[in-house]
Amino acid sequence: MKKIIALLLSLITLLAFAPACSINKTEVSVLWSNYSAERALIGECDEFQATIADAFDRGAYIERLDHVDYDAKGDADTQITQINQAIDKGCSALVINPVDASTAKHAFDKAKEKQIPVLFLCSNALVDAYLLAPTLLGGLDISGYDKAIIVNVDIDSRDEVLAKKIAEDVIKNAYDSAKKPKKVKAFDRNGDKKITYLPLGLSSASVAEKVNAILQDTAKVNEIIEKTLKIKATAEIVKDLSLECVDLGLLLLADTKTKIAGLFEDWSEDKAFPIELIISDDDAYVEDVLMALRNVRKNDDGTVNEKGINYKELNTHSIPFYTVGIATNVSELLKHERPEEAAEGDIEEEELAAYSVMSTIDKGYVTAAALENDDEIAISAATILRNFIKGKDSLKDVKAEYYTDKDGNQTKNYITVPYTIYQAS
Amino acid sequence: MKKQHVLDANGHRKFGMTDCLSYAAGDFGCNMSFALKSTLIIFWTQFMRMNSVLYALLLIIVQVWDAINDPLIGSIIDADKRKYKRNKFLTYIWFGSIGLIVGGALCFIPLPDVGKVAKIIIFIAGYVVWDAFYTVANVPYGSLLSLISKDPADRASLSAWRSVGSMVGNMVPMVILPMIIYDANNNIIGSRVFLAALIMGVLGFISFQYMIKTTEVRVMDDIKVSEEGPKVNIFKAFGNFMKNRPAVGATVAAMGMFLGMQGGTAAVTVLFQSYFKNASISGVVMLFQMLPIIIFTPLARKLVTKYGKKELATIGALCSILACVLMLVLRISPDSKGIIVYVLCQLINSLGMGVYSTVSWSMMGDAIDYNEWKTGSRDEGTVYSLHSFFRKLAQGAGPSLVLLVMAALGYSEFHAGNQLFEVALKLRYLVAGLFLLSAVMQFVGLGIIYNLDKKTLTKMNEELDARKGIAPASEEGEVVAEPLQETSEEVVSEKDNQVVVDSE
Repeated sequence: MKKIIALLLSLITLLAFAPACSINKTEVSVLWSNYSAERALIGECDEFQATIADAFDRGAYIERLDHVDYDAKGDADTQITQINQAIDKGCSALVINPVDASTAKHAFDKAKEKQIPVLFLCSNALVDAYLLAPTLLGGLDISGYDKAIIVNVDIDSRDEVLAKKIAEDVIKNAYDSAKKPKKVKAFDRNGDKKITYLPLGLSSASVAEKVNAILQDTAKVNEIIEKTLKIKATAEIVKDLSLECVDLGLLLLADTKTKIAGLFEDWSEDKAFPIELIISDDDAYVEDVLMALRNVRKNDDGTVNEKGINYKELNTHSIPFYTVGIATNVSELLKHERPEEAAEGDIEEEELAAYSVMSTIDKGYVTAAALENDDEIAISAATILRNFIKGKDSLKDVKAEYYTDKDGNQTKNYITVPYTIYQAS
Repeated sequence: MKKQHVLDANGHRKFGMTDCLSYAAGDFGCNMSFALKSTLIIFWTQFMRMNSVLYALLLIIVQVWDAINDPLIGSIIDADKRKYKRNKFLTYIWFGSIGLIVGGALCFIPLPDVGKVAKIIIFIAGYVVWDAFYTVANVPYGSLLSLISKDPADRASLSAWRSVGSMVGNMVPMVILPMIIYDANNNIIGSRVFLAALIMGVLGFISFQYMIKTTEVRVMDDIKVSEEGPKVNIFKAFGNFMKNRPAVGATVAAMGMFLGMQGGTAAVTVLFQSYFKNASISGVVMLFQMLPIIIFTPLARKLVTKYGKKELATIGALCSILACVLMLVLRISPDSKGIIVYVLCQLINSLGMGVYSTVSWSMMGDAIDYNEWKTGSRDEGTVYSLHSFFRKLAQGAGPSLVLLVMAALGYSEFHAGNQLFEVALKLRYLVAGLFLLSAVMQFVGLGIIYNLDKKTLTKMNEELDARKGIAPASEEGEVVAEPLQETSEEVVSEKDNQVVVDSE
């Protein structure tokens, strides 16, 4: 017995010293254009980068990559200095979210000089264009260096993913509302086979077109019914059903509340319901839309508009609302929901900062969102880096694809991750 | 045709499997509300968005109430001298079971948008009401054992079957609940927890009714539920307790278990939510962890006979320490491979815990004997009471302290099931650290402080038997549910199945 105890104690002691003998990890420098962990806590940095950074921490940990973060605070010169510092410290690879095209070029040149991998995590559209359309804009051509990679979301997939989700919901709703008319409110509230939608943003019409294309394609509808929805129906249930845009002209963000209020101003029960669906291509619209829908019965001075729709009837749960993105802070909406607490300053800063479009989806105010799969982007980035450092194929163990353009040309320097759908459980 | 029961000499149904199942059903019923307790922290911080520090303080307040509530209700029950149609305890259990239909759910009312003050009131009121009904059902339930049979072997069976009922009552929600109360993003769905609590309340009620209907009361003695005994000088009793090394050692070990393992339940949940990003399998993993305990228990008697309780418990504690050190130094990555490594470490940890849990109660019995051996007086009541007091202290303080540590490490209720990775990584080490704390306290308590090794125990039993004029036993005694002595009555008075022996 004493021998067993002694053996166990020895083993424990040996193991306790094990971390001191651990193998050195690879060090990577990560250059953010506008993010640091400390500033993220007080909401001072870019939301996308904050999300990606957290996911990259996870990916880097899985891939055993030690990393040092740099925060350029939006300044190009600072980022260039940081690139030089990282290179001088002898990092094994660079990961960069460029402030602008000049910092992207500098990182590329330095990495190529040192023959180390450089990975671009992009969020700035101009920088994207600079890197992705080098011949068009005379910008940076990274195709000549095989250790340069862009990892980004597949923007082309955004409208497809959202359209497919809306089409699935339209089909399922047509089935459920026909089967249980008292329990399930139909998207097509007016029963005229036209689902009137409010377009927010330039891409909304494109999404709606794609939805209509799906609804008109019998084979696709049947495939959705069978493989995704698994319900007993055929394409007949959505026969002649289509999305039709409400005529509001170009809707700018600042006009959202006014125009929505205008739609309901003269509404009465004998008239057609003005909006049956909302499609937004930017989560920045969400807060204003939800506030507008809540306030339709109120005038600007707070008095009740007797002609307006009954607030209880206009429950946002009953107007399906789809958007792109979930990160926008909607704290004003939260204050609106809890006015007394807001007036007394009782809602905590952290909760206000954390109240985003994601929360509205969890509560059911917004139906679903197409969003960048930030986890997958960041984890793919970490895995790709590890592959580069170990001399393996860059796409090994990565759930992503090489970018393929409209002509079918594949670019091995550009890896894309498709959008995903976020919805309440 | 109704089943004919065989009757004993007194005209009662002969003791058998019906009594065992009936009694097991009672603990199953108790656990239908108690099992949800581990979900409280996550529900109140992540879903109700109560500040973690505030919640930790409120938890301490209600735990203090918990400690007062038990003897208070025990006294009320003892003071009730009314005649009941069947039996006083069964009536109180019936009353408690009615309240528990909704009592458990009162702790999980899903109103995240109400104000801070309202949340505080809802939490305290809900907990107090639940606690009251739970105690009204649980305390007399424990005492009921003494009324079902006087035979020590029968009582031992009832104790064992009570454990079965408790295990099933714990395991079923433990495995199933995580699969239904978390969404795809690992966030807790408060409304589902509330619904689950209501369903479990109903199941518990049904279970209690079965127990009440099928219980055969064979003993007509007047049993007291409260721990009242002769008045004692608490300081003297404490002093004597501190001189009782086996009692102190067993208590330190028990405190370690409550502070570390049970206190860390919330940290383990967040580990699965935010680190492994797979909250729904946490229950299945915990089920795996129980396997070594289940496998070890039938072997316990043989091993204890061969090696001794202290020796075996020390090996068990060292196994647990080894597992926890492995958990700290091994790479547990936040993916499926990491879960496998975590489970393997927990299997080894559970093996050590299994040894401890099997011998722990009999070690307290030995500590009582030690008191008699050294001082001539058993003092079961005070020794068990102080042991129970320290256990409750750890049980109450554990979850609160751990939550405060979690908050200090960056746990934010507003990130719910998606804590920042940096925070999740710290909590991964916190979980390992808490289990290690448990294991170390068990090693210190049982391996160092507890001084009744096999030789000493044999010597002690021989000398005690000699004093009583009893022939020496051929082997060491049982390890589970020791038979009661003729001069004592067994009183069960605590939620965590503590057995307190009061001498007449």
